[in-house]
Amino acid sequence: MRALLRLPTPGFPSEAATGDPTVDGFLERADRRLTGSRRIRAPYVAELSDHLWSIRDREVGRGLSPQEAARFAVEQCGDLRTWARSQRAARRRMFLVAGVTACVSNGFLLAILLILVEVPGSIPFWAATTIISGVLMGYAFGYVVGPPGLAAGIPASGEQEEFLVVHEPWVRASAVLLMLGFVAGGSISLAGGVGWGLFSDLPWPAGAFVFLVSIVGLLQLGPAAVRIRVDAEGVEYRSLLRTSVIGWQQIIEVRKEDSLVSFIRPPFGRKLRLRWQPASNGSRELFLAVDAGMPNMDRMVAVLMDHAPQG
Amino acid sequence: MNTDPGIDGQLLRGLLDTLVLDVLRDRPNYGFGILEVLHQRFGAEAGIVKEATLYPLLHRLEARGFLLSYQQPGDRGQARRYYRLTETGKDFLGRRMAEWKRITTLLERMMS
Repeated sequence: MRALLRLPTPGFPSEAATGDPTVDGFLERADRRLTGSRRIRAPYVAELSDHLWSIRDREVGRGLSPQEAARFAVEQCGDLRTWARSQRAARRRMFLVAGVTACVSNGFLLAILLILVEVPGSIPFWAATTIISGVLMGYAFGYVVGPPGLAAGIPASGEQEEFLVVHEPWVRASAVLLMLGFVAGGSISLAGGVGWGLFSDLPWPAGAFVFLVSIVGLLQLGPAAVRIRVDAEGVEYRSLLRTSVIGWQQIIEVRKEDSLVSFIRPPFGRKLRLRWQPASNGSRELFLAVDAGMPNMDRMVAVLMDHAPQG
Repeated sequence: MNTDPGIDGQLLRGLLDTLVLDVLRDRPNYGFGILEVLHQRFGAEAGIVKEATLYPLLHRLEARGFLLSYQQPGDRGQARRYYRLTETGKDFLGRRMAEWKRITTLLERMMS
């Protein structure tokens, strides 16, 4: 399973190499235990490399030879299984979530096709195709997407492209309307599938599937197209219609609001009040419902809270 | 064979996050530095935390928003990952410290 979760990527991240054969050999073995692309594994290996080298330096300072110090450092780090297990556990979730999402999306498209046009072949054939392609899509997605909570420093480098998906009230309202439309469509399909009303010649599994997915979609509402990115400069706020950059010095207040959605985390997660001073006089306020589905939600909220003055 | 019974794993797991967050209360630090501080405070032989435990713990605390990591050049010019406590982490640490104080009081009463 481990081998399956990690496609063979040539070499271990060379920037982590120290030049010491004992240390580098250990790093290579550590790297083989990790899953994901080279980009994902690199920060783990680099951190381990820095740790080993620090131990080696300390022991050389205490009088050991470089070779002895390197061996001591490797022995000190001990069991790689425990170290690698946490990385794999975080990533396993990504693979599963992505795979299931892809399966459901494929199934949804297939059901629509079954309703709208006559699809050749039997339903089991298409169902099997859906599952296989869903697993492959999930695998591809999970392979390239980083594990939660392990991105490089956001505020210091400013190079890390990391977004937090949020919902503005109007976006959420539009999404609710859209999904209600889906549910209505799904209900009609289901009714047609069981031989009642419109589309009464549909195969009923297709109608049921559309209905089910519509309900799931309504519960999830998907990531709406409002994203914020935080870096050393401030908050970049991107919605469908505009992009604003709000410098840290412009922010008056960031506050977590307690509300019902704080308790019913999915799909909205946490509500944030972001108040800032625009270039013109006065102040603007945004209420943002932070998407709980984002693996980086807690960390990004912490960044915001940490940088901005508290209300 | 190691005959040192050490500290019960379950007990230690509940305590470790508090110990690590407390190390970072004064200033940001990196993995090796955190371990050194823990060794200075409790003695390396106490076996409070090992490398294989420390890094997963740091990553988990970061994912929960208690820590923030950023990179700075290390001694050899390589990228070194530092961790610092966030406001959320400070709140959490404060709550944990208060809990531990209550537990300590209870234990002291029990022992006496």
